[in-house]
Amino acid sequence: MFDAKQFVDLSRSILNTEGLDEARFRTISSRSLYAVFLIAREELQQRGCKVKATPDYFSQEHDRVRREFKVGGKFRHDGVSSRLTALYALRWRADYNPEKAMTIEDAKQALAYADYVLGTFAESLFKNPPSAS
Amino acid sequence: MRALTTETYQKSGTETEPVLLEWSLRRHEPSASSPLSNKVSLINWVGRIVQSRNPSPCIEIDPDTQSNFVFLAQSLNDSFRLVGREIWHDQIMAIREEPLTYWVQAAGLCLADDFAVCDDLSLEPAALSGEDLGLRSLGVPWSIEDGAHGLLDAHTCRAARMVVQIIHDEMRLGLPVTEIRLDRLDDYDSGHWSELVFRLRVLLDTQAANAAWDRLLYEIGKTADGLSDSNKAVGDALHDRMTVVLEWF
Repeated sequence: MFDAKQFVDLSRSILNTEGLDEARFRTISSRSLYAVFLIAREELQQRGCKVKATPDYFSQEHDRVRREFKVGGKFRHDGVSSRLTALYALRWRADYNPEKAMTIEDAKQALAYADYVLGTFAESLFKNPPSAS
Repeated sequence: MRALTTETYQKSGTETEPVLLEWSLRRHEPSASSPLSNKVSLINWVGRIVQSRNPSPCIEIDPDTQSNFVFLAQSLNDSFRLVGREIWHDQIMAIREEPLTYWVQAAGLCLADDFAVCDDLSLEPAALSGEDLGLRSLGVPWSIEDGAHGLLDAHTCRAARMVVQIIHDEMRLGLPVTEIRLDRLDDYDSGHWSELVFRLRVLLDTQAANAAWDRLLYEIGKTADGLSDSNKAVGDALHDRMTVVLEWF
């Protein structure tokens, strides 16, 4: 299975390259969100949270993943939840709002949010393998 | 100052029945002494106050009519703050939806003195919401995205004020905030949620910013979890309808 963390690795590697600046910053912002989302979705699903799409509720995946980290969710974590929200906001600008410029600061911010979330996954929320959690 | 003029006033009822006060509000005539002069104008509107001995005085608003208005509460020092599209105020004790009824602590309901009703088209919603939420008091540049205003219903507005107060407390303790923006974030993938996002620009490095952010979230969570059952809707708004986001790059 594809390791979505590679999106973050790729993003970091192109952060300070030259050319196509805004395309890079938008790509980094967008891929940072999807790295986190895809990893979260997989980890949650393996731990019994039915977050993956079915033909009946394909469009609800993002909402289902997000809710697991909010109050009432099996893996409530306010820090992760807020960084996810921040990443969604950046991703929306990156992919849907060409009118508003994106900068290298936005890209760095997205990577910082992703680092926090993935770090929390690795160090606490999903530290133990699914069978032991 | 009297922002409203009671044009008609009728009284009916008995000792045991609700007392019905009918009144209408006349267009506010701007005056030099009125802080509303340059911002809002009142429009004709007829409302109904029902004053009963038990449980409490209340205001009944026709829901169809109410949606066209915003309400301003007048404080003791004659400043006005936006209450929202619904009547809500520190004085309001309870809200019933059918029929739409607001119980108010203040006895007598001389609301012509305490409430103003104005045409929302003549307001500057963002500016007034910022005033109402306390953003101005934080002493840093602030802004509110137009779409955010639409999420500020009664409970969300109260929750947002709590968040602003917590931000204020953290700033007093040294959180170096340089700018605050209140944005609206929608779920564009499936349309299942909308959130108010407080964006705080801070002068911190990544490690310190993450620590400060988590401290803010802890305080907000503690506040939300500590609310009584009667404030459950406000707690839900704190948990589900708003997020604080820090930016430091």
